[in-house]
Amino acid sequence: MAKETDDLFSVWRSLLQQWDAQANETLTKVTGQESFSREMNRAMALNLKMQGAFNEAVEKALVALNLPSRADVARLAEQLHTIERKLDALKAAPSLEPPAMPRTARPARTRRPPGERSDS
Amino acid sequence: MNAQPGVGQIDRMRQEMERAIQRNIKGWEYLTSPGKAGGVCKRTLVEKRGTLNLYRYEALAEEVYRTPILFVMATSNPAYVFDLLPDQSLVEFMLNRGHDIYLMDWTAPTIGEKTLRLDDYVLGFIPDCVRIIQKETSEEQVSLVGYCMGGVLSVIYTALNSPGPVRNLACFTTPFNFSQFGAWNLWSDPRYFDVDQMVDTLGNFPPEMFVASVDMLRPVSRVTATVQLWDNLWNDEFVKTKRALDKWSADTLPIAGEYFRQTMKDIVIENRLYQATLEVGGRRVDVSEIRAPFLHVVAQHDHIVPYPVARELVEKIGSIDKEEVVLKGGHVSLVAGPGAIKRMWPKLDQWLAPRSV
Repeated sequence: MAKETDDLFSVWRSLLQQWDAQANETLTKVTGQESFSREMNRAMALNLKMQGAFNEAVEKALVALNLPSRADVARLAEQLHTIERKLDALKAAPSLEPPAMPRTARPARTRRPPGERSDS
Repeated sequence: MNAQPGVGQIDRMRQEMERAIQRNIKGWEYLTSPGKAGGVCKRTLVEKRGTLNLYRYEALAEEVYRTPILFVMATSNPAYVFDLLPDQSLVEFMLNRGHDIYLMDWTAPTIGEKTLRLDDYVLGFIPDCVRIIQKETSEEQVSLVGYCMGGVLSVIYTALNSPGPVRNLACFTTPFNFSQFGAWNLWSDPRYFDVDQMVDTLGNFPPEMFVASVDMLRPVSRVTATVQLWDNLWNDEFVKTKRALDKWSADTLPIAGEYFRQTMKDIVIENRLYQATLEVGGRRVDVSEIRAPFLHVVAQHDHIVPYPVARELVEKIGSIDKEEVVLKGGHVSLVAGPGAIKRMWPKLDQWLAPRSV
């Protein structure tokens, strides 16, 4: 009896876990049906269609207002990245390399597994 | 949490009362402070190219193993799950055990990067990183460690370059037989799911959709996890880890549109990697071509990549030296968190060490 009382909190936690397992099982039976997949994807397709139409309308409005769209800004950013890459490549070119700096000492690549080491 | 033997009813009540008080105090702290995660170990950005970031970690041992390791993360998530928190960092653990570590991390692909394809990752990013590591370390060979879809990328790269620069290949929870996904197969049934419409409209695949599809695999677990968090608010270690992993999950990245389209059509729907009919850059990918020593660590309670999806990878890989290990844990707790420290990390070190000299 005392043990049951001692375990009252454990019982609550165990019940929570059981509820999680059972509720997940019940709900995944619903989400695991073909009709669920069909309806979910139908709703998503509709949403995407609306989003596509909205994107197109916004794009046209931006053109009419002579304003750059997100895609224009992205293209510009891509061009900037290309310039950055070319600059990096130029900096890395041997003729432009700064005088050799002392490299941070790297550890020797001679480690052996614990069982094979002579000092172990 | 089970009652300890000898702890009486009054003591148990007192313990719960103390925890209730701690929950109120720490609950306030929880709500008013940001969660911390990632970036425990010192590292240098060696290469940045668009969505790719290649990092080199500073060695923590005086002497390191000859073969460097390249961690390959799935493009859908940031790689700080490998370097989550002090004393809960796989990278830190491996550095302390004398490994030389490089890591491929991803930032969100831009709209312009929606054109990135599987070919760009497998024939561009990974080989470039391998070349940089070869140059930096003067070593011809590298060990690849891939997690989830990072494992798929690593497997494809190794298969296309065998024999080649991959000395060892270790994968965690890497899907292979994509016809065994169950609910995900149903939701991505091409009769109902139009991947072309999605990519053409949205560009990159949004992280919210990815997280929602993962949540739908266990619809109430987010509620249960919140109740469990409240129950454990008194426990600093639990809260610290939970917050870090929640942050990591919230930081899920968009997936480059064309890569998503190609992955869905070729790898998921048509299951071509499994059937050895996948083509990347005009070359057929056959995992039986892989000859490098291979380790696959899978999680017993993984609901994202269930065991039937991962099981046959080790069987189909052509290597003679190959091993599959099933460990306790879930898809994420296999690589991060208190369980991983005891189970997966030592296994990875013990497997790689003798193969890295």
